[in-house]
Amino acid sequence: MLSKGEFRAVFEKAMQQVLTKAPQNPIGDSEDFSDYGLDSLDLINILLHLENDLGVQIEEVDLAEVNSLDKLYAYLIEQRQD
Amino acid sequence: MIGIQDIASFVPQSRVDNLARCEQFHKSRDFISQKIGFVFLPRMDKGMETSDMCVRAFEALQQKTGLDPQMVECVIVCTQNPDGFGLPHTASIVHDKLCLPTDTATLDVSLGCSGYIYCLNLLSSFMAGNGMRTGLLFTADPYSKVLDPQDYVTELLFGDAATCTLVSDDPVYSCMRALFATDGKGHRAIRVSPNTRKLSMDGRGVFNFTMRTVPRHILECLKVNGLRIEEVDLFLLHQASKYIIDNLARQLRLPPEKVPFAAAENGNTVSSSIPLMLQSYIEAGPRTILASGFGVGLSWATSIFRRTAQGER
Repeated sequence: MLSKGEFRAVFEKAMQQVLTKAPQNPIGDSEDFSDYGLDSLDLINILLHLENDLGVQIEEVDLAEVNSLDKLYAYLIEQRQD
Repeated sequence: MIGIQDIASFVPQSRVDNLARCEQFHKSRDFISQKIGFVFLPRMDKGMETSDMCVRAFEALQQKTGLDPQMVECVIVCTQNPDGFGLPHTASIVHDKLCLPTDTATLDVSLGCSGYIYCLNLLSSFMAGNGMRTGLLFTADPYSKVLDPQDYVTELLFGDAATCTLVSDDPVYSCMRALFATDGKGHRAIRVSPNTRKLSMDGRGVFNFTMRTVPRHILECLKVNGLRIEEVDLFLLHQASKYIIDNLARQLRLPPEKVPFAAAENGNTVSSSIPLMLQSYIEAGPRTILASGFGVGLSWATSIFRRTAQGER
């Protein structure tokens, strides 16, 4: 099973590939993506990188609901269990 | 040899200011200008029809070239928003409005963003196979007919425009081998709902499709034409959004100046987006241009245009 630490590493790598400017600070576990400066297009792009890097298909997801690292990780784990 | 001789366009003067709608759609000005990239969206006037936009594009072409309508042997109109309900075909109505000769072949082609590449090849092959010398390819897909004003996913993207490409045996650009592809399983990703008759788009699905298929398709097209990516001077990619163009350029490791985003004031004009850009390279353009269209269908097509000796003169 994918650990939270592994997920964070993959997520941060995806962010580096998506964002043109590298973020100053690491994103907090419960920090809202929009507060961190990620918009809906960035998130769609990050999800695509996550799918490629993790070899999973992330089903249709409401990005307004899954709006932090914690929530996205929980969503992926739940989806894998289903 | 049949190819592109000239291109002209019609972009309606009426337009929507996207930045003035930031608050309505809960988007920042930066998101609209830097990510979506479309600041203004042209809208055809009320009472105007798809065929009228084609006529206006033809008039612009005539002004540039002095083309005699009596010389036109074949007309293709690429649209998925035809006059009325599509019966009769819009090309027939254009034929009437332009007073073209009776022995002119006319047909509509129902394709979206891949339409220009498809239709250019259809028209060139049709003309070559039947000994024709002069044909017209119109692109005109006024999405304003089917936009849902409340749906920011589509309402902030699409603009109305029409283009007219003169295809002849005296071309400035010839078409090298093109590649075509379809994923019918994705046909629901961009469609007009039969219930609402309004456009809907799965934004994430379309983004994923684009990023997964288009770079690979471009590389395949280069391979079948025996070209290296460095040998292409310009990449004219369907102007789906600035974000998509920027990301395709990054994925292909291309310098941004080789992959222009030129639709800030036009929006996503579907099959018109490639000829709208290409028209500015007719007078004096680079030797090798790659063009790729992708979207509705899901359908995608990539082709390479090579400047001819006539174009160099």
